[in-house]
Amino acid sequence: MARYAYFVDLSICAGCESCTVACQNKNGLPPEQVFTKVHREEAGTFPAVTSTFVTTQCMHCDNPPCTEVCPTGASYKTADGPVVVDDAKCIGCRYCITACPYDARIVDEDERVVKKCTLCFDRLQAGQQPACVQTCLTGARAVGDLDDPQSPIHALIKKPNTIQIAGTSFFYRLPEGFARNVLPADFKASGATFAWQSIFQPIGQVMLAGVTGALLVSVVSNAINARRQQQEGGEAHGDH
Amino acid sequence: MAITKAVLTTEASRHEGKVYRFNLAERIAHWNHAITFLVLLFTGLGLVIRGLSTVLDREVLLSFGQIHRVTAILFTAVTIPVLFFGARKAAGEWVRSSFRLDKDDRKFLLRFYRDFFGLPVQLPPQGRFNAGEKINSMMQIIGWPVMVVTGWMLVYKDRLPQGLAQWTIAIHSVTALVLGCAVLGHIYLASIHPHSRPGISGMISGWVPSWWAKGHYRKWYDSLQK
Amino acid sequence: MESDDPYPVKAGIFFRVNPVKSSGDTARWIKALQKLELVVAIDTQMSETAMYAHYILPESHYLERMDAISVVGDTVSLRQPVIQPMYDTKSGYEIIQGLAKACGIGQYFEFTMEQYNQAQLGTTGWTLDQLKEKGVIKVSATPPDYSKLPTSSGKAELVHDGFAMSGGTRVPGWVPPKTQPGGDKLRLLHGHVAVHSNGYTQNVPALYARMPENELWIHPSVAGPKGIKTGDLVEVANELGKERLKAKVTEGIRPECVWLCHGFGTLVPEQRLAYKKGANDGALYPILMTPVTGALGQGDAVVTVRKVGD
Repeated sequence: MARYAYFVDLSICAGCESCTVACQNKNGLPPEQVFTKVHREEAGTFPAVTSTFVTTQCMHCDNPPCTEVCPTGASYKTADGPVVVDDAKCIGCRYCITACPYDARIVDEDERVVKKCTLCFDRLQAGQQPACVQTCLTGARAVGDLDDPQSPIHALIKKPNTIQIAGTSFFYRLPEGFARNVLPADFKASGATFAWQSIFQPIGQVMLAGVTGALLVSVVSNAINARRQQQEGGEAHGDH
Repeated sequence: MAITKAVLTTEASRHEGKVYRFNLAERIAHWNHAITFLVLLFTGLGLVIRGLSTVLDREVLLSFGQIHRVTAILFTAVTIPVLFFGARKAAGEWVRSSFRLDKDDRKFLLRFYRDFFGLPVQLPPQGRFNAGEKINSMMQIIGWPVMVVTGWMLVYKDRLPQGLAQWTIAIHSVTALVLGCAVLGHIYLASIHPHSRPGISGMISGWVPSWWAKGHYRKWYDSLQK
Repeated sequence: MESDDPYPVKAGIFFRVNPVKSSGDTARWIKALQKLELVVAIDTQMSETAMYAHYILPESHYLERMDAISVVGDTVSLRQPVIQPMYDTKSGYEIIQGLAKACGIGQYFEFTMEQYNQAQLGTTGWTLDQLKEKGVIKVSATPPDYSKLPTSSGKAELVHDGFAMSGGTRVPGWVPPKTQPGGDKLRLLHGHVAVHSNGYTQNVPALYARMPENELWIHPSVAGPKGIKTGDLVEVANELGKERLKAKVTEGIRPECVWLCHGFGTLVPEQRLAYKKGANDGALYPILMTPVTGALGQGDAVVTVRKVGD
């Protein structure tokens, strides 16, 4: 069992978007759909201006809200860390899309399922690198097993200006002149999701069970009552 | 009221010993609401109860989703026009009276559990709808727009701001569960519970036994005699 | 081509170049090409220049062909085909070979590219098959000797008669550009981005989806008074032409300059995705030969910018 982490050194990202295209190629996505995105941030006023590229994708959260809300269990977090979708169970209800804080999921209208970055889970299991990591022209991307003391990932995440996005598997190295706010936000659980999943739903199920129980008791007690009335003679109170 | 009296007098022979409780429009509206609600509840459960995916395969759950949306159109669009064109006055009375609980209603609510479990009890006289029915009516009158609005918002949920979408899911789901509890009780009382089940004919033919109306809805029964 | 000076040019063969798009003054190039009796274009896709060709000799895509080995210092690399040509195309060398045969000088081209590359590798001790497997190899090579430069004095020369003979002065001096920004005129700059390559990838679906058009970078202090916001359609114009594209208001440009990415504003209808998306900088800068180096004076243009839409 591994514990995969993802490191992106934004100080050397060239913004070429080869990662985006390699990922599309590996996952059979059309040109307009992406799992991994690249955008440009700018800071300062002329002439003291600096810019950087920032890459975003599924953050493979520690406690993924997408898996929490999935009604069929199609979305799940593997033991090694990557969060994946089982197409055979996904019913395309899109609850996960409403729950994802990082806008990481897309809808495949033809197959009626939701898709996302899988951290190339199948490639990792075969001892290969994810498509984006292998393609990256500058070597800015890396994936490694935090539980493997030999993994190069340990040295990478210790580089200066490296920040972990709290609650996720991602580490970014920030370039000079940029603050934490250009990176994806730390993971924060949603109040609405917590309310529905952990409060309303259990209470609702208890209520339903309670009502059903009360009905059953009512059936029994009314039957007993009817029989007792019959035995005592006279009209049964039932149907009156 | 005038219609009820006219029907009573002209069809006295066919309906001897009965009083007219619900007209055709009220019955159609009721059954539309009831059937579409049950279909929506059943198909909606597939999206809430995680274990269902282990017993129902993906194609079935996908069709649940489609049935849910088609049925939602009927749930949304039929009930109110039918009531408006066929029973405007009675429906208006029903809505207004549902939110008015008088002293008899409050006493009824405190004592009803005894009737429910078959214990001896003297229930105070009730109007056209007893206090329990008023509670259910309140829940339907409030719950219906909540389900309709949140439901149609959910059709576009991936285009809503996320916080709003998440709360809409929570409200739609919890309201469904609460209304589900209400419908369980309602169906039980309408069809199984010995004291209330005679009333089911009111929703089928429109007529209920006079003795039952007099015993359970005294204030309404008396007003019909006038 | 225009003036028949010093001699009339009757034909042009354009091999993997697209001057109509990328060598300045698009309108002028088009007029000049239309004067020629024979225009032949060898390219992997229909281009602005190929549109004016009498004959197009379609070349195989780089993934379909073997090119001559590439040598940089002690590193040798090979471009080899990974698929068979999908359509009726030939590699650049095969085209040259075919033309040579038709001209009656085929005897100088009686070899394949494989044989040519094998011969080139001869002295290195590597075979072509080994290079095909490795793709890139390091060969032993004499390291360059920087102690003596290939000049008459053996040293770097900052004073040279050659500079004067080439249209400059014995000591290279500042030659002001022909245009200067000022008033409502902004210097037009252009460049490249990592997503696209020059002027020929704009129609590739995967890259088009990443960047379908270019934008005009303009400083807020200039955009503000003109009422230009990011995303507004603007018109960039000078005496050579007029182009339209969306604006991007940014601090990352000198206030007296505007910048756009080269390669857009495609005029080729067959490039169905890229057709007419964005603007072509080539339409706006002059065909100017810089003194001494003979490079194209692409930076020597100024333009006016105005908003034409939201």
